Amino acid sequence: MKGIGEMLNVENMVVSYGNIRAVREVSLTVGDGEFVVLIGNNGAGKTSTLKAICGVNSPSGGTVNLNGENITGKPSHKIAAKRVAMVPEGRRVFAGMTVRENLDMGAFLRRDKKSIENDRETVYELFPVLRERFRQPAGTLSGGEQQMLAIGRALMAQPQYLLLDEPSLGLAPIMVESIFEKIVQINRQGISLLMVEQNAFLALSVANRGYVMDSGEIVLAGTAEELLENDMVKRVYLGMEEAEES
Amino acid sequence: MILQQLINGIMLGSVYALIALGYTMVYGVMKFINFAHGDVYMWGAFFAMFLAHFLGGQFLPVLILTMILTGILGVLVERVAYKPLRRAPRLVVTTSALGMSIVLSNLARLLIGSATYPMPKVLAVHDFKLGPSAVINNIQILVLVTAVVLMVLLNWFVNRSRYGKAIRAASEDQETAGLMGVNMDNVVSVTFFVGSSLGGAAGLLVGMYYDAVYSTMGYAAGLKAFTAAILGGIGSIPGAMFGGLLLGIVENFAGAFLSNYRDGIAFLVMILVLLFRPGGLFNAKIYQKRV
Repeated sequence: MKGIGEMLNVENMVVSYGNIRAVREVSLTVGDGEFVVLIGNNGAGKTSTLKAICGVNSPSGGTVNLNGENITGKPSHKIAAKRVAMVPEGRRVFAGMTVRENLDMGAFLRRDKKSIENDRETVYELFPVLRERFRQPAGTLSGGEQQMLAIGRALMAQPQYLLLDEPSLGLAPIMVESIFEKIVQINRQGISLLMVEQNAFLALSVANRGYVMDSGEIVLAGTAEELLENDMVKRVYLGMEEAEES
Repeated sequence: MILQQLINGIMLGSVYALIALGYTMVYGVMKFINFAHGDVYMWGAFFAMFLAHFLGGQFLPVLILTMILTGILGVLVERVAYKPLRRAPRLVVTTSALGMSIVLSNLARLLIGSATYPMPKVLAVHDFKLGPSAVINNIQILVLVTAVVLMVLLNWFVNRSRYGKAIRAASEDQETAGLMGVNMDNVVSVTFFVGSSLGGAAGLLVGMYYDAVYSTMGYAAGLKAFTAAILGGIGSIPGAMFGGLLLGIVENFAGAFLSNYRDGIAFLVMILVLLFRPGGLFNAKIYQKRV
C-alpha cells in the first residue's frame, strides 16, 4: 500500500572514512514512483551516498528517513527488510551460485513461495536470457548478463525503492541501451529509483530529476530537462562524455 | 593387505573430513582458521562419553545429543572469543582462536581429568571377513556410514536450504549478502553450530573406534583435519570431504609400508599439493583472490 507522502528523504548526511569526509551534508529526496539520478565524476561521493542509505556504511551525521521512519545507521539487512533493494557497483553477483540461486537470495527475506515464484517468472520475462541460463553459475555469465542478474536479484525483494550503482559500468554500448530500457520499464511498474551514473547524458535522458555531486557535495539539483540545459552540466559532464566517446 | 589399508584409510579419512568441514565452513564465512575447532571436537568426544554412559547402547540418541551439545559449545566459543573481534584484523581473531584452544583443553583437564577414558560401549563388536586378509568390524561400518550420511545431509543443507544458501552467499560476499537481508550474526552462529556439531559427531566416532577419550585428543586430530581442509582448498566444502579422504588413505598406506613416517608423509603430501596447487585441489580461485 502506498500513501501520499511516502518518500526516501536524506538530510545533511555525512559519510567519513577515517579522517576523510567522502560525503558532506548531502540532502536529497526520492518521491514515490520517481526516477532520480545522482551524477558526477569519479570520487564525487555518489557510491558512498548510496551505501550509507542502504546501510552498508553508517553515516556519521545527518538522517535517512524512509516513509517517515528514521533508518539512519541501521544495518543493511534491516534496511533490506524495509523494501529498499540495491544493485551494487560492479554487479556483485554470487559467482559460485547458479542464476536461480542468486534470484533466491534476492528473495531471502520472503516466505511467500507462490508469489516468489511469480516474481521469478516476471524477472525471467524481463530478462529472458536469465531463464535460459538458470542452472549456470553466475560467474560464467557475460558482464551484461550479470548486470541483468543483479537487477533481477534486487527485484526479487519486491522493493519499493531500488538503488542502482553504475549499472552501465564496463558494458558495451548496445548492452547499456538495453539495460537502461529495462530500468525505465521497472520504474514504470511503480518502483522508485535512485540511480548513480557516470554517464550523465544517458542518466538524465531517462530520469525525472537529478542531482549533481562534486567533492562530496550536491552542487546542483533540478529536473532532468533543466539539468540537460544547464551550462555547467553541459560543459563539465556532458562535454566530458563527448570527449570520452570520440 | 591393500584392501585392509584402503578400508582403514577411508574410515579414518571420513572422520578427518567431518572435522575438516568445521575448519573450512568457518574459514569460508569468516576468513580465519578456527584453531579451537580441534578442542571443540575433543569436547564432543567427552559429551559423547557422558551421554553414552547415561543413555547406554543407543547410538542414534547419543549421536544427535552430542551434535547438539557440541554445536552449542561452538556457538558459545564464537560469542565469547570471536564476535567481539568481528571488525578486527584476521590475525587477531586467529590468535584469539589459539587462546581459546588452550582454554578448552585445559578446561577439560580441570573439569574431567587428564587420564585417557574408555568410551562406554554403544554396541558389541563383530568382525566381518572381506576376502582372505581384510577384516572390517561393525564399528568401522558404523563410523563410515555415519560420516557419509552426515556429509550427504550437509550437502543438502548447504545447497538446498535457505540458510545454507545464505552461508554460501556470505562466504562469497558478505556485504552483498547483507543487502539481500542476510543477518551476518545469524549466518555466523549457524555456521559455527553446524561445523561444531560435525566435529562433535567425529568425536563420538573416534572415541568409539579407539575406545579412548582424552583432553589432548583435539591437537593431533585438529592438525590433521586442518591439513585435510587445506589439501582440498580451504573454504571449499567438497574440498574438505575429498581432502579428508585423501589424507586418511595416504596416511594409512604410509603407515603400512613406512610405519615410522606415517605423519611425515601425510604432511609431505600437503606440502606437495600446496607447491603445485596453492589454492588446494578444489579451489584455485581463493588463492587468486586473497593473495
